[in-house]
Amino acid sequence: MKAIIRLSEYLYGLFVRFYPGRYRNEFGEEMKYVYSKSINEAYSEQGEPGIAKFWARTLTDGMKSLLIEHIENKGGGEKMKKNNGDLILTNKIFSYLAVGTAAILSIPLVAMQFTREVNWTAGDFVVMGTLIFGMGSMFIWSARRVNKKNRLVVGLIILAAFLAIWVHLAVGIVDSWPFAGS
Amino acid sequence: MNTQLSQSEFYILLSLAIKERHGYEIMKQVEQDSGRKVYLGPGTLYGSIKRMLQSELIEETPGDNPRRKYYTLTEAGRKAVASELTRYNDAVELAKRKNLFRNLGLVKFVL
Repeated sequence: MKAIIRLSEYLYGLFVRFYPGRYRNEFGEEMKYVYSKSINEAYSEQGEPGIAKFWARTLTDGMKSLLIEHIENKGGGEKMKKNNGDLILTNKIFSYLAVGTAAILSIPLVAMQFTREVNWTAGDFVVMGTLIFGMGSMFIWSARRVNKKNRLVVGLIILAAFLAIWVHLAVGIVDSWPFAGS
Repeated sequence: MNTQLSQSEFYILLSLAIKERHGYEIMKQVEQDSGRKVYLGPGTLYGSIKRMLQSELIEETPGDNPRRKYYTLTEAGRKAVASELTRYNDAVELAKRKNLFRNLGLVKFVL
């Protein structure tokens, strides 16, 4: 086999390592096989210019797919899991969570315009926003790891934790704990 | 059936509508079917395969070579490709009825 083909295959093998682990484990060997067949064909049809042309196409294709796979992997559509229309498994849920958090925070913000009974500082909004979004994210993270029928239990536990933290921050459940009644 | 198929996915499903194939075969068939207008590199090919496995349009068939897995259409995949073909066919029929091929200067396609 020509050295240039062997080198190309070696370089493509290195390139495949940049794909997310799970994707690489499932499709890496097949991708290398397809690459190997294709580059051999390009060489037998057009010689070395064929290899250069093939590399150009492969790099364009590879960079695009590398980016897509990393975005899909990172977002937590829970990687290779099947969504089956389950909103919890999609990334869209985080957009809804952010909108929901903003909607809840807008309640005191609006109330502050009409009454002095509600008087939140910027820090209050940040703490509450972090708490709501954080707890919501924790629920999503947990719900993705349990059976659908157990999600309610997970939700209730996280809701209870949320309320406990909230009450503690508001009035202080245990004085020795940090931020009691802050 | 309301499955949105990309161009690559449509051609992949079309290639599998004839018989089960492995990745390289799919790639060659798509090139041939599209008159070399659609090129699937390994990245695009397996990205599409991954998404279609997730949405259960295709499935892996048992094989003994991990470097050459075979894929076949599922029932949902058959329905998706049939629905897409029907949509294209309807569009072509409509274009014929309205004489659009002639009006748009595509007379050579009139049968």
